[in-house]
Amino acid sequence: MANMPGRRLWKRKTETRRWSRRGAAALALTALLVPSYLGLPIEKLIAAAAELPDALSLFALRSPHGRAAGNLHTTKPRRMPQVAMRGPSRINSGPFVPEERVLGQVRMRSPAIPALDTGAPDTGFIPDVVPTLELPRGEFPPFEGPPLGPGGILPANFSFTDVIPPVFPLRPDVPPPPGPPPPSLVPLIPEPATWMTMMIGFFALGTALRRRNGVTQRA
Amino acid sequence: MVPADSSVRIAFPRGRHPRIALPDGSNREIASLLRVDRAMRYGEFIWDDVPRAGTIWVRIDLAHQLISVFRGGDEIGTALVLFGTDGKPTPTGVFPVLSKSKQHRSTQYDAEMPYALWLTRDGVAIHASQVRYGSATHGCIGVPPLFAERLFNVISPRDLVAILPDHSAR
Repeated sequence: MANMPGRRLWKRKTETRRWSRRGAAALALTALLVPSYLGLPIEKLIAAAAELPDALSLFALRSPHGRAAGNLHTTKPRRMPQVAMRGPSRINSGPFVPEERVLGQVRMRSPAIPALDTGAPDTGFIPDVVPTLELPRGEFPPFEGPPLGPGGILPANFSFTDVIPPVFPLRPDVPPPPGPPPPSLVPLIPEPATWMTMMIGFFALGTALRRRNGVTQRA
Repeated sequence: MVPADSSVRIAFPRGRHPRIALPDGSNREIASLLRVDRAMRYGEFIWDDVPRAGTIWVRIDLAHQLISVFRGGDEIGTALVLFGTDGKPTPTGVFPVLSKSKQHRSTQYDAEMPYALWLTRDGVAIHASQVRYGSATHGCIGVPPLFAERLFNVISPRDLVAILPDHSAR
């Protein structure tokens, strides 16, 4: 009889545990049923909760990715002989001024094509056919000045055909007539250095011939 | 023990730690990474040490211009780095730190290299540099000066530095 209150207390504890278990089960059931009631697939929710970010993709997220090609300068200039005379380093002496190109080859930017005012509506691209220049048409103004003929600037027997080579019509079956050979780039009069080399060579030849002939003493 | 701040780092749950490969074929387990949700700027760095004991090791990803300092499995610092170019490329592989020198002055380039951590015997080091866009080094790893100071203070000789190659190298 003395253990009745303790027994009652034990019974009450067991009841509480049972009810708390039932409550937890009901909560879990609700958590499972509510997403399906709302139309959310449970499998996807579980997968999303289990999915972890990839470590490498996290690294890629914080990076500006690969270094751009070209246009790289070193932060350190190469040591120069006069650097020791100049004293302290140039790192703390003012703003950064790149001095040395790292890459051996210089990358040239392609020349910018100016926008052509062709009168056509702007289609967003540059046409690759450049419109030809409009030449002035019509009559040229009459020549005013000294006469070109006898008594004028040009001699009397002057003919334009002496100056301007005749123009032949371009026909694919007729080969063009052979013109004058292109002017040689070698000047007719040698340079002084060439003269000197030639003279030294002649003297050397003469000396060798004299030695070979045994002429060692002058008469 | 300070609870992990989820706004600072991304912690992987226990038992599901990812492993990242190093150039020598080994793997390292990652417990947490710093949370950086945007591309970092040149010269900027993030440092958040963890109150746990662990070996310091460094992962340098040349393809992403990134350095990550780890204490055990936790990343404690990250920044963008400068590295060598075609003429003087940065060596790749896993290097133990040979020695440290707080104030080094390069006689070859007549330049200050504060907080130098020597990786090779021919002069490749991690050192403080002016990290900015469009710059490169003569083969060293350049890190921001304040980052270099913190790294210098936590790292010790024989700690490993893994340098992953730049796949976009021409």
